[in-house]
Amino acid sequence: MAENENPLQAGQDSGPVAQPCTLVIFGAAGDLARRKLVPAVYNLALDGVLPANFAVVGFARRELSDEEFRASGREGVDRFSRRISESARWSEFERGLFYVPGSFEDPAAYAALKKRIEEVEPGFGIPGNRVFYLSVPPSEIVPCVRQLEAAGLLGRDEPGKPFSRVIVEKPIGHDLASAREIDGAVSSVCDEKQIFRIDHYLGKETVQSLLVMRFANSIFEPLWNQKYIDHVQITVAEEEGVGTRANYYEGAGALRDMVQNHILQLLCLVAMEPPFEMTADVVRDHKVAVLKCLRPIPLGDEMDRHVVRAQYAAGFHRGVEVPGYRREDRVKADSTTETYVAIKAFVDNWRWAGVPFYLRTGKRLPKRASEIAVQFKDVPQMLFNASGTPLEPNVLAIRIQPDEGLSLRIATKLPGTRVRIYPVKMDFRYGSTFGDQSPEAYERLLLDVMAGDATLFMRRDAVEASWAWVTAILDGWQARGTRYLPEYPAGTWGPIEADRLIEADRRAWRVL
Amino acid sequence: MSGDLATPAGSGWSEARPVDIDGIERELEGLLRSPQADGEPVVSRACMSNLMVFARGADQAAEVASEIAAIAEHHPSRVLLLVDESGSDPGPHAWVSTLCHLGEGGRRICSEQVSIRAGGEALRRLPSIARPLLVGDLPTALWWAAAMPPPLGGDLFFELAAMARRVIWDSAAWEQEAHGLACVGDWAGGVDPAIGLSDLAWVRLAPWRSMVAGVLGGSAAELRTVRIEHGPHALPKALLFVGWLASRLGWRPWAPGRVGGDAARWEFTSTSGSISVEVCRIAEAAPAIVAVILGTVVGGMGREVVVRRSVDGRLVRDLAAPAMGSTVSGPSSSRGSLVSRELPDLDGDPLYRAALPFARALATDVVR
Repeated sequence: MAENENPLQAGQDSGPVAQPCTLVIFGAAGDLARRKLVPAVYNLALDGVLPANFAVVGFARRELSDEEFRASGREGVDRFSRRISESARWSEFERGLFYVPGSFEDPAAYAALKKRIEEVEPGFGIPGNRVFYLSVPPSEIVPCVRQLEAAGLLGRDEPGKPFSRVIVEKPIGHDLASAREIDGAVSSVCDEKQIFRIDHYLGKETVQSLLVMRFANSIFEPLWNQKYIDHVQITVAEEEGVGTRANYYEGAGALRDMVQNHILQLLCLVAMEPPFEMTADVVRDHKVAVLKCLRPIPLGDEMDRHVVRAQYAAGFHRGVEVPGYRREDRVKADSTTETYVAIKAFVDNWRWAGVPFYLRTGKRLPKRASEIAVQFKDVPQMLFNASGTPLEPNVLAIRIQPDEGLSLRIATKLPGTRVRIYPVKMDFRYGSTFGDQSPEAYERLLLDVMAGDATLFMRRDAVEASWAWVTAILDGWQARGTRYLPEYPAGTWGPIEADRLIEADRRAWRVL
Repeated sequence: MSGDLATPAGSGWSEARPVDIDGIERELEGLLRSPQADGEPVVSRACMSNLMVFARGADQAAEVASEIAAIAEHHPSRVLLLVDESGSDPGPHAWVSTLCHLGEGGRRICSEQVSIRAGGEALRRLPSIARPLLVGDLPTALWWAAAMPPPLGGDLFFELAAMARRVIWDSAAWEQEAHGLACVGDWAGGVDPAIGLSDLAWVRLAPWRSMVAGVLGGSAAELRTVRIEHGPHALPKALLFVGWLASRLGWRPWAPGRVGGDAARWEFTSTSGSISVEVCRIAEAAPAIVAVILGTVVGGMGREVVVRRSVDGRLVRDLAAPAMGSTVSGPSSSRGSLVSRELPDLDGDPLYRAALPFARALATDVVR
């Protein structure tokens, strides 16, 4: 019998089964905890999928009492959760919320944290299993892990003993070397199976559904290759500017912030070969194989034909005048941080030979929208497009946010005596088809950690492979300097240089 | 702009709800998800295109809004009605509404309209409001309903047009038609051929072109004289008609046009001889082409064919005895129905593109 397997669960539920544990949230006074983590745990409680023996201990610098932490959590649920708090359920839920103030560098704070956890656990019947969610900047991951180890809170799991797991938020490092440093330090304290590198995109229903769509439907997989697919576009568009994240973003930029993790993970799911089983390591092996096939971006002047970076300038966003990036709070007036990046990438393997993957992400674009679009090749130029005007190609678009779902664009004949072809969308929306709101990504991912299922989390080799590809681009930029950084007006779909990048291949970016 | 202006009574639109710019999508979602009473049909959202409509002033906006229902019924679209309405409050202000009709299976099929009013400096905000409201992966058209040639709309027009793959306007609505046609000709020459350009004046010419092509039959190349009579506001149509003949029959201008009074004359040449064209304005006639008189010489024999617009708008070929095919329905007078016919066509119209440079040259002669 596998570790943590409970024979009584057989036939009870086919979903992930969370083990009794304490969830310790580092950075519990921060935005992520208030907006996402506490609401996610509350929704899991409402859905009855949390273990009966469960508690949350918040840990952060800010001085808060348990009551204040609970009040902040409730405010977060009411503002950001898919379901607002109900008094009776909340009262029951908040009894399991606790808070310990302390600095992440202070050994005494860890001693206090340990003491509090040990006080809480017996009251909830928790057998000592702990999940540490490190919602902290990358530079603090290593110190936190070392302090946890020193305090006796984190170590390698032993059979028959309580487990400890660590959740690490992206970005893990700021380049290949720093990622290796972080991974090395964390791995020196615990085993890979205890480390859960989270990318919340992977918890979204549509992303999970991507593999189902590919491998549970017979119509797609035979077409899923260079013979039938013209190109793939992956877009992660943000409507907001840098906002209050300038301190972080100035040192990161769009390439590190979005491409290295979210976009490359999506690319892996689109491009991976069919896994022979849906277990964590098999799925992740196949994803890493894609990353290893990514063709390095050419450097020098040739780089411009494959990568465009740009920064948003002043413009109008939904009718409101907004400043350019360099005029934002805490941004240097001569900043060269890119807020937009567009890339033409290739996966050099048999399946994808010659098929470009156009990747783009940016801030201050017209709307918030993330999508994977698979465009199929044109039909032969005869019959309905014999005049030479190409028909609209078939496009399978997988919407990740907002409004999760997918659509297939097909050509149809307009009613009437003339043969006129018109593209129509067959549209499926999770929200309207299944009625209930889909669980938030964090709900699924937290549950998976408690269940010990790492399928939707990034493995060390995947993080390093994606950093290796991205770091080469960063190095290329550095070598060339920033002689010219294109701009795009806020509220538009990006710089003209990005249009030229794709138009050079006689293709166009999709309007989302 | 009030809600009833954006949605005229009886047009089938729901009452327009004022809404914050940021809340437009949410409000539309709410309108389409409004709970049904027991027994009420299920709502289906229908959307084949995005249609941006630009109008100037409350009166024009009301006029256009009354035509949008006809468009939405034939070609369900997300309509963005953008109105330049300078008043005490420059806005922008927004309203949302839906238009529903009963479809097959008893479902209510609903289209959406967002009306945005802005004036003065706020006008330049319109593209940034429209851009995120376009439904992805659907063709987008711009109907420039303002009574001015589109390129004279300046940056606002060019920004809106950059989002569209078809631009629609009506040269019959312009004050200075010849000048406008010359201006559009200059602009259109630089527009990507894949972008559809639809002058409703050209669309209204379709029955004329069909009739004339039919009556000339195999003798089209023997055409020697053409006289076009038109009423007020129909000069662009007449010039586009000449442009069509010239481009299809391989005519070349022979001499500069002679313009005087209510008539203009041009001489063309082709491989089969010279052609005289006369365009005459009849002040008291209907605002349309009212007659086309075609003279051919075949085997030394002259022949004249006359096609007239009857009082009821039909096109009638003058014959001693009416025969099959001597009458065709005239062009629709409703802009809404013309626009709804244009929206499904995704390709550019090469015939229009070929005719326009000729019409532009003739218009330049008229202006001069």
